[in-house]
Amino acid sequence: MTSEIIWIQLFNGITLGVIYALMGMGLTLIWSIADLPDFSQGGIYIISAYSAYFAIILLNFSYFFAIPVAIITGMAISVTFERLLYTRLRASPNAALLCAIALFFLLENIAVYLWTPKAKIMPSPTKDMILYFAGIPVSFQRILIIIVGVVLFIVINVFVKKTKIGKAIMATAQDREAAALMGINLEKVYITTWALGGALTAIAAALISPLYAVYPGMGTLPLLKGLVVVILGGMGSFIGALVAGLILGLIETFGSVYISVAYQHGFAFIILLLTLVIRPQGLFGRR
Amino acid sequence: MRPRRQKIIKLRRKAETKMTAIILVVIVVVAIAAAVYYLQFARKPVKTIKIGYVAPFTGPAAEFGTNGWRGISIALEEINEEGINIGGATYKIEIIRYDDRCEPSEAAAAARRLILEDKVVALLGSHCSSCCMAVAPLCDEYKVPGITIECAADAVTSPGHEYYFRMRPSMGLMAPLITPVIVEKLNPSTVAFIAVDDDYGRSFVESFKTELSKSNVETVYEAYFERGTTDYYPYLTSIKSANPDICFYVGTTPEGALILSQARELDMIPGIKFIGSEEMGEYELVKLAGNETVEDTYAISLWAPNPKIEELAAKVKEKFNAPMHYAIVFGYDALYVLVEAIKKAQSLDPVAIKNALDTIEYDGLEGHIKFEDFEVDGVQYLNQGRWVPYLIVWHNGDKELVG
Repeated sequence: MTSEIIWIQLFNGITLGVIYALMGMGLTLIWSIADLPDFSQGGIYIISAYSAYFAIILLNFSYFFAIPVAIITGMAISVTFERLLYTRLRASPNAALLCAIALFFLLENIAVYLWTPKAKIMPSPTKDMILYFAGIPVSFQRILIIIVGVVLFIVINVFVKKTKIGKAIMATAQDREAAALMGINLEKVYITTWALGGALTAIAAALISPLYAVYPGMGTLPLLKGLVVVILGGMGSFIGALVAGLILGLIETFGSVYISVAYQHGFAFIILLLTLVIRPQGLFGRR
Repeated sequence: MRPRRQKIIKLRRKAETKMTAIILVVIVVVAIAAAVYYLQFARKPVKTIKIGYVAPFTGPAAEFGTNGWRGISIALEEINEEGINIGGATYKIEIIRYDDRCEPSEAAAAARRLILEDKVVALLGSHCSSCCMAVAPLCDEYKVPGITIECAADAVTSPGHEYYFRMRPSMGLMAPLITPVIVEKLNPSTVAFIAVDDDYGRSFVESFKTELSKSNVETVYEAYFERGTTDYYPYLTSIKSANPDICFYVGTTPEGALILSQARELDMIPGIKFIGSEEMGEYELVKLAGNETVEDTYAISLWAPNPKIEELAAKVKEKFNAPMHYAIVFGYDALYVLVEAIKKAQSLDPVAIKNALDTIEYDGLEGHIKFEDFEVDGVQYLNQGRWVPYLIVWHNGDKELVG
């Protein structure tokens, strides 16, 4: 293995890590507020990727305008699910979890039904722009993913720490009853949380689609890895999600080259098991 | 009340007589039309030759049946323009086609119906190997010849059926036939393989590895991916560091398009010559990946551009507004080969047609078609064609023949 290969793997690992971190941030937010691992985000990932694809193909949008289309789609579906279903199931977390899993499969199968299982390739100008860093080829799309990931991480952190609604979300995550007693409008908190979650999921989907393909089965692995990121990083921690995402991405890429590519997707779940045994609260979680 | 009711009855009767009159008029008109039609056509009877076509027009393999039918229907039009001369009488072809949805049981039912009810003299089809395996024994049983359009599995003609024929080289014959061309034109000394993890991918790699090792081409990397994989970076970076002269990639077109675009990202093309399996020689790949991505990559293809194929492609474009596809070429050739055999046999007896097929030689669009019985690497084939597949290279979104 030359050092060139190591650098390529490093870049690929960071790109993947950022995508997992974005999924993880959305999931951890919802999980800490509503005590719900929201599986339906996997379905939202699929539908928002398709919405970006069709915005480009049918409406001739440029890639950069297709990303907002995906975000709006993701937020809309996410908030709709919250308003129509999760609100009613707040009393029974198990029912809400089953409902979320059902919604994931429902959206996946709607995609199969409407758009066939055949993979579609999203055209994007940024994918074909190859930059060289000391002879290492990196496409601009991957750099874009890393930039967007870092910017979003900062924005979300500022949002929850500085804005009123952000502080309300954090307060609710710590203690729901106390927050309600302090006069925090819980409904507003729930809607904002799901809107943010849906938006983060949609951004992850829209960013990775040009590199990979758009197809109905695309949501499963990012969803599961997003959940692993939440557990590894620690519930409710954004820095945890980012660090865990990067760890996962790097272990996956280096593991699949140096150990065996057959275990590419297995590493995530080995990490999950190890975390649950050794440090169940996660890297940045509080007991 | 009473007079009113009588009035209603009267009106009703009137309506009834009117209805009877209309029915009578319709019957008379239909009778006259039938008589005219009969007199018109009874005088010059059209002799037809019935040929059956079994193919998947719906279901997962609908793409292949639809394209096969496009080729056959263009050939049919051309042939019927002139007609076929058998013993001084002019015949026209009639094709009866049934959908098998790529299901062996449906294919068998369709073949039985064609042979027993429609009394066809020969069969074309099907496209899926499992369906061909169901149709072939029926051809032997009823002694009606059949030609498959595109089945790839070796077992279709090995050990084979006396009444079932295949024009294209089967999977197991591809590597022995094309490897000398690849070695001659690209002169590689090392090779890498990245293939889909199923029977097709594994047997593809196995047979090419064996054939290439005969020419002292060393295999430096070999890996299999799950169907529907999207991240090929781990495979491609390993290939990049192994730095082979050629790299075979095997799968469906979406998988191929992703492999090529990620290989582009890693700046591996054209340094490493990528050679795709048959699907990568179809325009679907260019549609998915784009002209620039496929530029200077190679593929093994079942058809190569030549003037005759371009003529056919123009007809396909005009008639169906569709791009060229290998199943169109195969369908077109299949009907022509069959018609040649009928002309040669000068008979509509299925057995005579079968005997003519045994010895026919025909310059098809796909290659020189001849059904032979032979043995390769200890495997016996019956009624199998063996024209050499083509090595093509993509240039500006178009295929160019390398060899």
